[in-house]
Amino acid sequence: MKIFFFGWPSFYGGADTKAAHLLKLLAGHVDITVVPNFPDQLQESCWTQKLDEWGVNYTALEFLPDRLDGVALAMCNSEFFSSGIYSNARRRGLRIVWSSEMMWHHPYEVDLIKAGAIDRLLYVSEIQKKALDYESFCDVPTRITGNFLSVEEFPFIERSHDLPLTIGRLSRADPHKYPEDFPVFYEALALPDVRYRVMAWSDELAQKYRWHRFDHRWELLAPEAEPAVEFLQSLDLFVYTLGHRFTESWGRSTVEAMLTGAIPLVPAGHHFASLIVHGESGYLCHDFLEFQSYARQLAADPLARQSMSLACRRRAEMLNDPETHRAVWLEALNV
Amino acid sequence: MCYWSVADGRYAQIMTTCIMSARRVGVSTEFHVWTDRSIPGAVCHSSGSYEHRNYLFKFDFLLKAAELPYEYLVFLDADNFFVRHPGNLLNQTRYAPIHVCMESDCTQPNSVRPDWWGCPLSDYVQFMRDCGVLSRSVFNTNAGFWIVHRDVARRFVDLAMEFWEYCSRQGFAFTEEAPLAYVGHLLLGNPYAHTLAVNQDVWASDWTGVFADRLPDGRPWNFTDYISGETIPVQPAIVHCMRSKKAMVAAASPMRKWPTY
Repeated sequence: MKIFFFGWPSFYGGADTKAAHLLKLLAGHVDITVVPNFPDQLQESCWTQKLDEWGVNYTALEFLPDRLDGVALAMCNSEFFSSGIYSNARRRGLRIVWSSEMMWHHPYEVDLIKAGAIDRLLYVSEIQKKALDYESFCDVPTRITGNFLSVEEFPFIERSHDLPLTIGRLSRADPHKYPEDFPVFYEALALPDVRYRVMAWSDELAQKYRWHRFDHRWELLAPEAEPAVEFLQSLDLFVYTLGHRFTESWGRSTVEAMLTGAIPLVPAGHHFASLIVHGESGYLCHDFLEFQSYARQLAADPLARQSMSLACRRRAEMLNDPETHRAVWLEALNV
Repeated sequence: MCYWSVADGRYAQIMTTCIMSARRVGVSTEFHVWTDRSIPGAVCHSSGSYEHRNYLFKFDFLLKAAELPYEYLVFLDADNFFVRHPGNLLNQTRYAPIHVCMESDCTQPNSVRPDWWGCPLSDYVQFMRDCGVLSRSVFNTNAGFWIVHRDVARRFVDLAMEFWEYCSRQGFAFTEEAPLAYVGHLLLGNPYAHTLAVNQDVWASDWTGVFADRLPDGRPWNFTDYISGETIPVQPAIVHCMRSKKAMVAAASPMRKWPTY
């Protein structure tokens, strides 16, 4: 099987980090060629070195042969439609597999699906399936492929009990992902001797929360200010409240956090119940008071925290068995 | 911070009494009032003509108030009466950008009323859920007193009107109170720290008319929960004496004798 992946991996954002782990998962099992949207991305040696290491090819669109046999895969890549990359791929004879990754349809996505431009559609979760609902307007076959994380990329570390408790979050700097009351929600948990760490912060977020006085307890880091793994390893609790109009399609950063040993406290709903066993590997909270109660229990009991931290790692490892994920993907890409 | 309000016609006289009561207990904070006449003790701004229906004008005037050089804007309905100095009102915000009094929990099974502003409680709760409110308790509010940081005023109004318009599409054209409660749920951090029970020493609404047709005297009284019918003792510094409007109009006369406390 030959896969042409249209896009480029990244250390930032759910879909592009997913791409990096997926390429590594499938490398050696299928022939993969990565085709970035922009040729200058091929100069990013941090990624080309990894692709070389995994045995994954990469080239610019213009250098692809005129006729190809295989599957074009694009994930959350708006350019794939808006810049006509999909038609270029199709013209070369590739079957097209598309994964939105988001809870909404990308520009042109629906029209092109209806026009027959896509051969297979991928969902990331049931909740995303419910939102996108391709079945309601087309008969293109669909699969749920989920999300794979390479567990060795996020080593577990045991947290020190001598340092202040650190709570925080990692997500795209999308204001819709942040609840309206984000900083006051953290502070209202009223945890003793606490630090707050957030990545990725942005000017837009600073503007949204300009009414708040972030004091010495807060550390607001720009995107990629630290490697994601180091940032997550610095957190005891991953407190991930979300905007009131935002639905998380999967929750990749939550599982990354769990792998490192950070304990997730997340809102009930979304896809989180599939990721977290409530009370064992984190908490699904229905209310501020539940967030507060669980956070305070964990803050007061380092041994319980340590035990749950390990359970988070085990749970996240279980969710990311490479053999299982590879089988799902190979079937989904067998178009 | 400053106090602000919108008061025209008879409400301008009521506002006069409100301000006099504040000055009498030592409150020196400025009152900015959008009005159609002069109000003693207030910095008056022309209200112009505006739509009174559903009291949504409060949100429009909030955006005008946000242009004033104050960080926090404390809204008071005209029919509020100070019986003692309320202390630092910004403590009410508890570091949130707003304070809205979370009054009655509409999710409780022991409600003695089936509705709020004609909307079945179950529908009201569902509208909140539909618009992203996750808390187990869903409160109503009385819109006589609320605080907004000026840097969140625009967002406050946008969120309020989103909710109002959503409810309107469902067939319920609320007053300003339902959207105010909605914004409270989204912006307070811990809504349970903003309940009437927790904050009863600062402000409460005499909606049952404990002080009907007279001015509050500063003594404690029993507040009746609008939804559950349960009572709690309250002794607020500021009484929203909504059943005492005639007495407040009369008290605006310089000849009127005020209660002592």
